[in-house]
Formats: sequence, C-alpha cells, structure tokens
Amino acid sequence: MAWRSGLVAAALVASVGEAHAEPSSPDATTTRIPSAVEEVRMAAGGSLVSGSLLEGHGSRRPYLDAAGELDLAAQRFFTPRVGMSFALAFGPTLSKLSTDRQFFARLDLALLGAAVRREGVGGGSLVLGFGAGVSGGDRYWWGPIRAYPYFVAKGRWLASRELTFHAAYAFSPVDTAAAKALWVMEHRGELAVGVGLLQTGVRLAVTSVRGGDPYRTYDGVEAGVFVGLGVY
Amino acid sequence: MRVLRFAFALASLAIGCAIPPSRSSTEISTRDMRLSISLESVSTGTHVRASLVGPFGGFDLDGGDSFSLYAAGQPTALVSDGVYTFTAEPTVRSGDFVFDLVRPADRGARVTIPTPPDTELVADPPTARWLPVRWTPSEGFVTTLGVQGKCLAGGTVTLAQDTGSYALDLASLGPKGGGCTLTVTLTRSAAGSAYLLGEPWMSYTARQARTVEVAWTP
Repeated sequence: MAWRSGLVAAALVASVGEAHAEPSSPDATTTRIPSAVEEVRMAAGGSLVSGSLLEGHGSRRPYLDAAGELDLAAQRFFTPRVGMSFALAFGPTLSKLSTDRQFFARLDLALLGAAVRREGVGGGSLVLGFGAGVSGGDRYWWGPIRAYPYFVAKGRWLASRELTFHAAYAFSPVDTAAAKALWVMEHRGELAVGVGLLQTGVRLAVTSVRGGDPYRTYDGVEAGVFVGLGVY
Repeated sequence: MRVLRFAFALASLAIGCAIPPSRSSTEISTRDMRLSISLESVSTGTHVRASLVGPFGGFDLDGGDSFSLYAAGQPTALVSDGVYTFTAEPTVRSGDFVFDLVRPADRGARVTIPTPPDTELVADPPTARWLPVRWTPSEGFVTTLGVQGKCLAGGTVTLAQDTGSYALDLASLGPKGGGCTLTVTLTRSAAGSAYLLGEPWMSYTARQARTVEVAWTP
C-alpha cells in the first residue's frame, strides 16, 4: 500500500501547488489509478451456443442455444503476488431444439499468482492460477451438474487512468462427466476494454466432448458479448 | 469448420430456424439405428422391404457405409427410396436372406432371416366334402390354409403341425350350394427380432404364400 500512500501524497502536493489554477480535465487529484490486479465486476451478456450433442449411444445431433448471463466476478490479492478470484454466473438458456433448457448457474473459484505486476499508468499484470468450478442447469448437455478443475491466465494493461484492457483464458481439461466415460475439455476466453467504470467485451468458449459409441468428438462453440461495471 | 458452423448457427438464429440434424449415416451410431424387415415369398420371387432408421429419421449411407442383401447366397441389389426404405425383388423364393450393414468407422451388423423351404401347393381332386392339398412340409412357421370361392363362405384353418398335407373340410366352410372354382392359399409366416448389445435392434416378418385353384362341385 506504500505506493498508494505515495500517490495520494503527491496528489495532495500537486493540489496545493495548483490551488489557484483554473479547473481542468481529470488528473491525479480526481482520478484514481486502476489496480493492476484487483477487480470487482458486475456484467450482463448474451451468447449463442452452437455445436453437436450426443444422442442415444453415439449419434451426433447439432444444436443451437441462446444464453443470457449475469455475472459477478471479484479478484482480490492478499499479498502483492498471491490472491484469489471468485466468479458467479447465472441466467436463462433458450434452446431451439427443446424446451427443457431453461436455466443455468456456474461458480468458479481460483487461487492466483501474479507472475508480472506493475502498478501505475502504463503498467499491468499477468496472473496465473488454478481452481475449480461447478455448474448446474441445462446449459451443458452432458451433465445437469458438473464440477471441473481449471487453469487460468489473465492479463491486464493499464493504458491510462481511464482506459484499461483485459484478457482472460481458462482451460478445463476434464470434468465429472468422466465418470460417464465422457471426456470434456473446455477453453474459455474473454477480451474486454474498460473505460472508467464501464467495461465491455467479447467471450468465446470452445468445448469438446469425447465419448460415446462409436467414440468421437462433440464440439461446441459459444460466442457472446457483455457489458458491465468494474472497479479495479 | 467450427467457424463455419457458428456462422451457420448465427444465420439460423437470425431467420428463426433450428439446425436440422444431419442426414449422413456417419453422424449416427449403429446402436441407435433400428432395422425392420419384411419378406414375402410369392410364386414369382420374394418381395423384400427393409427400413433402416436412426434417431433423426432416415439418413444417407456415407463414409463407406453399405447395406447389402444376400438372397440365398446371391448378392441382390437393394434400392433405396431416398428416405429410409430399401426394396428388392429377387427371383429367389426361399433360403436364408442375409442383411449386412458394413461400417468402416462403426459397428457392423449382420442378420440372417430364414424362410420356409420352397414349395408348390398342389390340390388333389376334391370330393363332395374333402379337398386334399399337399406341399413341402416345414417347421418353425405358423401355417394356415385359406379357402375362397363364390359357392362357399370360405375361411382359414391354422394347422397345429405342418406335415405337408391336409384335407380341407369344405362342409365346414359354409357351402352355399352349387359348384365353383375354389382358391386355396397356403401361408407360412414367422416373426422375430435380434438384439445388438442387449437392446432390440432388428425385427422382421417373413411370409410365404402359395395359391392353387381347383374346380369343386359338391
């Protein structure tokens, strides 16, 4: 926290020094520099999910779903290098194929380590971690309830006090569907830009489920957009 | 491929359509297919009708998949109606009918359907009451004899045992008086099913019909 104290002190000095100047655009006296790793975000988004699902013993049926999503994410570092993240997402899922897909929820928790962390404008971070998640509902055809481990990498660039760029990638190598001889791999990616409190971005998820008789792959692609409010 | 699929999904959603299931057999597991077969042996040969359907209905045989028929050991062309029905009209009248589903990337399946031995139905000269008929006997089939004619009500007799001969009691078939030409029909039929990995996969009916006409004066 020493860097923050220093910044505040510097801001106060600048403020005193310019006490008689005309008001100007936001500067160090009015705009806090975003954190390179901390975050709390609420967002809403929508996505399309397209792919093929296993029907019967091993027939591949294409599907197309539309999903709405509200999510709450938080990332907190307890030391300069170690932190954790929490993400809760839920929403409706509408299927063009059936009416039995209506709702889902997903919770992810991860332990994070900051491989790179540089605070201040022009700085940023690269955070790596691993965790576990659980989802319930009808969004994932291979299991109404599934739990999975995952690895995560997140990057953030503080381009200015107002403008930030965010990237995240998560990889889940397996989930509890393995108990049913279905091998699930999931890649989830997210790119976002933040302007002040506002953050908007795109999401892409690619899943592959292997199994069935005959043994083969059932692919799924999810793409969507989101907009939210974030505090860093 | 994924990009194309997703682009198609977007377009489908935009126009309000769902993605139709593929009609390719490569997307369907053999275990999810169902085969039903009907064989009818007549005097000119055998009418063969087979339907092979998947969980999404009919499909096209792709990816090297083939569905073949061997009638009494002879390769016989199956003609598809483009949906899911295959037909053939072999001149073979009896023997084993073997249906062979070959799939390079999935399980194959071969089913053999036995049919009654070939026969002719022969009517010996009838008396005022009895009409003797003869044929080649067999076992394992439901055998019936039917009689029709303008001079009697007619009827069908189910034989408890197929011995290859039977004397029809015309007096019990409702004679109306006077004589006429009687049509006698022998039918032998069987039905069965086959399982694939413990699940019903194929069902069949096999039927043999022979007729003979004979003049009768009571």
